[in-house]
Amino acid sequence: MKKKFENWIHDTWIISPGGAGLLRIVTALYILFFLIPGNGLDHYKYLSELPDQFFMPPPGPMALFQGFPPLLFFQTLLTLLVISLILLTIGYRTKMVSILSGILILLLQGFIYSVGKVNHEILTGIFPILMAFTNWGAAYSVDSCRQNSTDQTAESWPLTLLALLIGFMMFTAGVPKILGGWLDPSTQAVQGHLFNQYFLRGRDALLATRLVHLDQPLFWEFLDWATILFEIGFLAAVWKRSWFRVFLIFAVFFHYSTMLILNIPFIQNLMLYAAFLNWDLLDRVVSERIGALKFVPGESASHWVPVLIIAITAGSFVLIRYLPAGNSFFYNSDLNLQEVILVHGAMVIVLMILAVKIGRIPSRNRR
Amino acid sequence: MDRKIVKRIFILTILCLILQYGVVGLAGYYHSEPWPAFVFPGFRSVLDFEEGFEISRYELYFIQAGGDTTVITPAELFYGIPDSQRPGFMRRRFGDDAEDLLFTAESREWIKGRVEHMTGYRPEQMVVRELRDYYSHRNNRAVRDSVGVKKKISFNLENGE
Repeated sequence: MKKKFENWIHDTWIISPGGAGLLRIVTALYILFFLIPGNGLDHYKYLSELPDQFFMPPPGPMALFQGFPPLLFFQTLLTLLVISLILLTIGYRTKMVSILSGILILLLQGFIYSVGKVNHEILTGIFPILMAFTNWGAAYSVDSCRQNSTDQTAESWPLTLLALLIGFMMFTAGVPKILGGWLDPSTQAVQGHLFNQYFLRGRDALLATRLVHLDQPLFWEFLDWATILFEIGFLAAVWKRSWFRVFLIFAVFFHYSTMLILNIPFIQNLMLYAAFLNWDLLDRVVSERIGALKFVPGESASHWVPVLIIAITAGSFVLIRYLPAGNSFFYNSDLNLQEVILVHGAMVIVLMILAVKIGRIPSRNRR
Repeated sequence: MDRKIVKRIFILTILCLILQYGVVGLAGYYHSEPWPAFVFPGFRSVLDFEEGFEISRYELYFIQAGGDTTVITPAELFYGIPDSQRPGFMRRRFGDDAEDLLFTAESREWIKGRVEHMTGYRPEQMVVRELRDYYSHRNNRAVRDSVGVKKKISFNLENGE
């Protein structure tokens, strides 16, 4: 049992320095363009001007503050966060800036949640802190080019720890639903929440308007049960890589349907799920394909690989982030076009993985 | 990192996760959800009401000296608070979870200034109404068939009572 536990910690997920390096670049840019807490500087300006009486921190460390700090404080934190994410992208003093980015995200989230309502995005801040211990600055980074940097191995246990956190947190979402009566066939909870989101919050985009008038108890009850089975089962799936991957695929389907029906995209989680993609395979493909190119006659392009990866990823994210009318694409709903594109992107990746997996089964059988 | 240390980190994390979930439950019951905490949203409530559904919402009435009244939605008055947080803010400030209903002079001034910016006048009184909308199913459609007032609170914005 002791041995099994240790194997689970160290051998469930294996990542190479190259794979971890690619994950670092994509993660840093994803946070930079899509997950910086708050809705821009105007959001923080609004908070800093609120009366102290409207500062209602949740129980925890934020209760040490008496009110919202001045705008300058938020501007400083945001500037530091942007700088640390840029440094994380290029892999300069990677471990330190990973932890700093995470702490800054958590601090900003703490103030945003001090208006009396907590959102559940803590893993956005925890993720870079955890990944700092994978040694994800060992490749595709300034650190790896520095002479003193000889540590070229990657640790995989932070991925197992991340899987455990995701599984546990999913479980915590499932338990209240069971206690609240979601499994009672005479009530349809998902439908009730659709009503709440649709009529109270104006979330009427995508399939919401169509489904708000769909009175099919069997369909809604199926969604109630499926949600609970998925959320509770996630914790058990943490034990085995193959189970967990299946649940990650379910998770993308789950977020996709939640976005279509309730207009809740939860794009933070996509970054977490992406950590369990096969980054080593991507690293091999990138190294072989781009590394084989010769921009200068007689010289390998391998030195340019990190630059190209950053340019391609940042370019794609800039296109999505700054789409014209991206924030006002849906008339009433607070859902924005960027979120819709990102969730669809995750869905496309999952469908591609499924297509590859399903495509392999007949060939295995033939053998 | 040494394998023994990593193993201890895992054991400690597992114990802390279980413990913190208990703390989240207790704190949430007696006060409000703590933060930071490793939990995802529960969406516990079923929002079911006999053959339909009930949904809570707030309306804010601002009365000026002559008696004229303007209705402002929480989304208009507290426009800077994201949609996902506004219902929680209203519950904590004006609902059953409210700890202190009285406004400080700073808060009264902030509200009057904001309403003046929106309507052109400074209100003397504010009335908060917590409403319950009841929806029923008719002909395969959701229809709002009644509205109930759950709570009504008046605030004098001049002296804070």
